[in-house]
Amino acid sequence: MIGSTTRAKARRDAPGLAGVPSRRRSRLSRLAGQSLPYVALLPALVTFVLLLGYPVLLVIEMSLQHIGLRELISGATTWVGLDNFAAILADRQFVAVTIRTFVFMAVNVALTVVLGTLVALLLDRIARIPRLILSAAMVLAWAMPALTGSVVFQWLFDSKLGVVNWALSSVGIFGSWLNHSWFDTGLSTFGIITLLIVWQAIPFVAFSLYGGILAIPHELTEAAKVDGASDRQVFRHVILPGLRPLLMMLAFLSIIWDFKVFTQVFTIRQGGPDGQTITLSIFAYITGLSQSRFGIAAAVSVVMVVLLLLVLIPYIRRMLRTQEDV
Amino acid sequence: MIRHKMIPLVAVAMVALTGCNGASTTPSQPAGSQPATQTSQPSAQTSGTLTVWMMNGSLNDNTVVQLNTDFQMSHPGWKVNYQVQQWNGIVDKLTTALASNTPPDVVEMGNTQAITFEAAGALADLTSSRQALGGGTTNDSSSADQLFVASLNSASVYQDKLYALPFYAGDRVLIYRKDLFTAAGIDPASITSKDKLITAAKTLNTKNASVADFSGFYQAGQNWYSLLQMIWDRGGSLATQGSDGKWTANLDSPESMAGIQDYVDYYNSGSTGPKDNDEMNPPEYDLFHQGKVGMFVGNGWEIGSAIGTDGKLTADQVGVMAIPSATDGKTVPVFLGGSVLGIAAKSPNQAAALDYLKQLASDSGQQALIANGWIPSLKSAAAAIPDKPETAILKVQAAEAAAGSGFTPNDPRWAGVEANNPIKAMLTKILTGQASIADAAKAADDAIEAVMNAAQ
Repeated sequence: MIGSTTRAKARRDAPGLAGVPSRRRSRLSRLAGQSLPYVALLPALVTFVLLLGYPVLLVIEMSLQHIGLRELISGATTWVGLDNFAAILADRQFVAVTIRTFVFMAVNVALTVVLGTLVALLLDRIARIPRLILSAAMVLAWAMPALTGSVVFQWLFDSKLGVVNWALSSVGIFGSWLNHSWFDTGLSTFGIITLLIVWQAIPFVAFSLYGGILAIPHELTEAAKVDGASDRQVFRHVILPGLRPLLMMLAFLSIIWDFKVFTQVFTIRQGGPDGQTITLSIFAYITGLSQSRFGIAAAVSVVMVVLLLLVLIPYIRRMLRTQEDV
Repeated sequence: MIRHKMIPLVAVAMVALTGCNGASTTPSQPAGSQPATQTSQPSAQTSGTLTVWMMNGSLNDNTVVQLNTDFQMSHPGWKVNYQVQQWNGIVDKLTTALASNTPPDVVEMGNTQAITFEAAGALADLTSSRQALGGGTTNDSSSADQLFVASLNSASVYQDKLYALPFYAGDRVLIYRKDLFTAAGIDPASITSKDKLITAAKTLNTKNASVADFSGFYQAGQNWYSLLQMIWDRGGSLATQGSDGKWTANLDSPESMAGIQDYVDYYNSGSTGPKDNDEMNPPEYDLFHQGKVGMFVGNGWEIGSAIGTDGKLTADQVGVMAIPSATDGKTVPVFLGGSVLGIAAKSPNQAAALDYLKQLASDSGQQALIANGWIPSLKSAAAAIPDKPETAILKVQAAEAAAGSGFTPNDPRWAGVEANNPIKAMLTKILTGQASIADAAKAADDAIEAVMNAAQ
């Protein structure tokens, strides 16, 4: 996707690159001028193919083979066609996990984008010192490695030693939360995972949108206010349209990240309790590495990519269209 | 930006990249054919580096130095690259390492994990070296001519071939605070049954009511190893395999459910352990060290950490006894953990690796294991643990193991069950009141059977 849009852009820019009247250019130099962008893209393309393309091809190949630990070690595999795909599509757990993954993704993306927008608006409104403090706090949340964040959240919500149970109990009005188990149901566990993911995702969205808000000419909002628009109307009819391409891009990225997020979900409870927080990426990991069914796991990965593409097609089309409009 | 680093797709792809070179070039070989096990001894090789992967906590530093110096002395030209691995995540690490073309030569693995690698052909066949390794003449665990501790032998044998050298075993004991017992007027010798243990726990709770979060008997909500022992104690079992190869999980049998009830009774004696977490989160020995625990069921190696080095507790405040059964006067059958040592099938240093194993199987190797606090792999050595203060705990452990021990189902698919352990989930559901014992046990049985009967 990125490759094609960049290429399209390169094609449009190419004639202008030389910047000299065309009659003075020889055929050769014109050709050189036109191919320069492609030559410049070559290193990126080669890296892309080697580091991503080849493993992806291997995964597709594995998804069509029967590979257990024995086959992995001996190197002797058998082709089974689409059997692996038939097996997972007939697996009730896989279907349940897929639905769960989509719901999980939708909740996380919605929360991330909505809360991120609110924080961006807040950044725009508050004075310099509080803004600095808020920005610094967000950079810290953002900079925390996912694994570290997950472990810290585990400790925060620990039923015996966690600071959350202690704090809730100390406040008094919520009653006693001592020894409350946060990880005893799937919903509660998902709640904590979502809190963690959204907490770490908000800074990126908020900073991007804050930048977008700054780019909207002040005259526009001023004019709207002079015309008697309320704050809500200014947001709805002036700021929001200006942020739309950016919002779309951020939602697009969030969908990709939240659909395949692994570290946080796995670290918190390895898909537990009782497999209730197994999402597709955890499912692929457990099937592959814990159960040594590598062919099936590869098939799950391929289905994941296809599902993600299906979800993103409308976004990609709309983004390409927006880009052409600009 | 930081949250998309572990893409399973790439993870799996990396396994493919590092793991199965040649998978694409030799697709015509039938699946299930024997892997390229090195049968010819590369005796010509007189020098090189032997890479040894041992687990964290197996051998202390002195033993390791002694072992490697001895090996290098008797094998001039050879160097030992000794690496300590962590238990956490070891199966995944072994999977990728043993599938690679440059695997470690000697690998230690847990006795419940070995079957996975033996069945996959990841380990070299050691059957012809059995006698040289001190294991006697037969692979049959019940035979008198089989000289290894039976459960370790079972873990090392797959389809009547020996794929690993039994290394050591260990089991759980009841660890208790002598001083608290004295203060509460409890005689440790009087704890001869479950009921008496619970009574003692309640007495300790009353006497130590001023200590925050105190548990007379501490038990985490998800200590499934402890649960297994109670299930066996009641005559129940985890899962059994029919003659057709199909596994049936038995957690909802009356015997197993009686064992689960025991577990609940123990928890309800006033344990402050988390209902949604296991014995290592928080570590039970840590709570014991902080003075919040009167008794707990723990591994032998946990005693050192329970006492600690900061002087809060001293060794003479801590006692050890066998875990009592529900039946007065008996002890529970223990979960016999431990580890075995294998040689990677793809290792080019088969002969040197075998020599390394022989050294560990020797008399001095067995004595070193006892000095490290383990039940040694040879029946004869395990039965002759010397009567010294240092080996008092080991004596209790060995006596328990001799009275009865059990094991998780010996099937490569069992690792998949533990990856998302339904038994832990069952315990949480029962303790939080989300489900009855019968319903939770049935659900766990279904989850276990789904994994154990999956096509391989």
